[in-house]
Amino acid sequence: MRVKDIMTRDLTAVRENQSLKALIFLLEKSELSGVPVIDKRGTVVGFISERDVIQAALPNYFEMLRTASYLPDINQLSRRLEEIKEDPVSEYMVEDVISVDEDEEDIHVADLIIRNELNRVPVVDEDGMLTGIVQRIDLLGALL
Amino acid sequence: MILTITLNPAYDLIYWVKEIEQKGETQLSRAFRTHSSAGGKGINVSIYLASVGVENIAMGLIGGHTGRTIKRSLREEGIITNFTWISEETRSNVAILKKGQEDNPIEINSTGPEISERVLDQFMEQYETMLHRVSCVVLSGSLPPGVPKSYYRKLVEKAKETGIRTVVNTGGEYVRPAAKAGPFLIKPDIRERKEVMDQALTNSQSIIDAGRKMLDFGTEFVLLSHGLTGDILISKDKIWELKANREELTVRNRVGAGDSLIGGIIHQLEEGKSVPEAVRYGLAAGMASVEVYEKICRDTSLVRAQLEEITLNELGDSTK
Repeated sequence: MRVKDIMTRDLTAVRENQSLKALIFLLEKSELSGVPVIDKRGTVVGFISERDVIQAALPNYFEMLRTASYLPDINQLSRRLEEIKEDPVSEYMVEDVISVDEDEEDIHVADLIIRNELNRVPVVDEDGMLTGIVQRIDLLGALL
Repeated sequence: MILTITLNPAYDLIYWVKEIEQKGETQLSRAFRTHSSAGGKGINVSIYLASVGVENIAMGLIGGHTGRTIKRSLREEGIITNFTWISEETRSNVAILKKGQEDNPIEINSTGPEISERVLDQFMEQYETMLHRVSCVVLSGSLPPGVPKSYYRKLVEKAKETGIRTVVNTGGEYVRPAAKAGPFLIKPDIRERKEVMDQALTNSQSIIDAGRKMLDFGTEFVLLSHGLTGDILISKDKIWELKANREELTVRNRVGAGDSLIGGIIHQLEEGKSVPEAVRYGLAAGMASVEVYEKICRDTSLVRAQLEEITLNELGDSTK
């Protein structure tokens, strides 16, 4: 099976110049954990997830989760989010984005997702323009 | 690739009942058939296009549980989605069809949620990005509260700047501003008011006069439907009349018929047909949709059967 047979043809994305506040609104309303970042022509230039936002607000948060430490003050996260909410998405996105094209084999995508611990991989055309997304659940559904 | 715009989408609920009557007391009517689906005029066009294999992107404003349901159902139809999210819940519309009177349904449409300027800015940014990958934009339906009446004009102008063909299907106060941008084709929706450009539509001549007013703004084709005279297509230099045999039609559901018409036109234009021939096919698609319970007729043999019943005649020079 190929990517085009299992992908979700949804172009939900955020523009690189949009604010973190706009990104959080989009993720909350669309119930997505992360979205591709695109330029004004729709070319994928990055990927950003809620994890990247938390990382931006509290750089040590994920390390703390692995240890016996705990979040000392929830207001700390709130204050920091308030400080960075107008920053552009491009400051915090993952630039070295992993993407696939529609004709790739599903086994290749499964390998990428497992190796890189990804939930969602953008699908792009020959010009790098976003054409959809492959989610971990799409692969699992296709395997059933 | 086609782009459809539905700024005021809805989840459509259609009920068929044997009786419905207000008797001055609470009355329960049991529906003997129901149909529910993602709706709004542009979305219906998208569903039609997907059903005939025309790749298309649906854009618009959605929110809440209803918005997510609409998005999911469009994905299941094979439609590419790129919606702008709002904080409020997307509306639901209800149509009630009484047995024996399916030709005159009771339709109850919500006005839709109030839209903020911030949402419109976000939508416009997404719209401009999508213009890089489509050949035709279909702008359909009413505008929700908060959206300026001239918004379709802005969208048509943006598309024209990039050389993209536009088709507008809207009614009432939204027609004039949209026509002023000079879309490729405009089909005013006259279900609520039999009036276009301050012109009451009473006979063929009044339809032609209203059409001419829109052509004066640079619109290339105007399509007007009239129950008595059939459909009239007007271009800068010609007028065509389309007549259908409506007597043989078994009306099951009129909801979505106008959108099937637009979908049929777009489908045929994509196949390289002339505008009058595409409109003839669109009319057949609209009539076929009336004969099925679903909003869209997915059986092309029914469309072809209707096509046999439709005549297309050139009435003459529209400049006279």
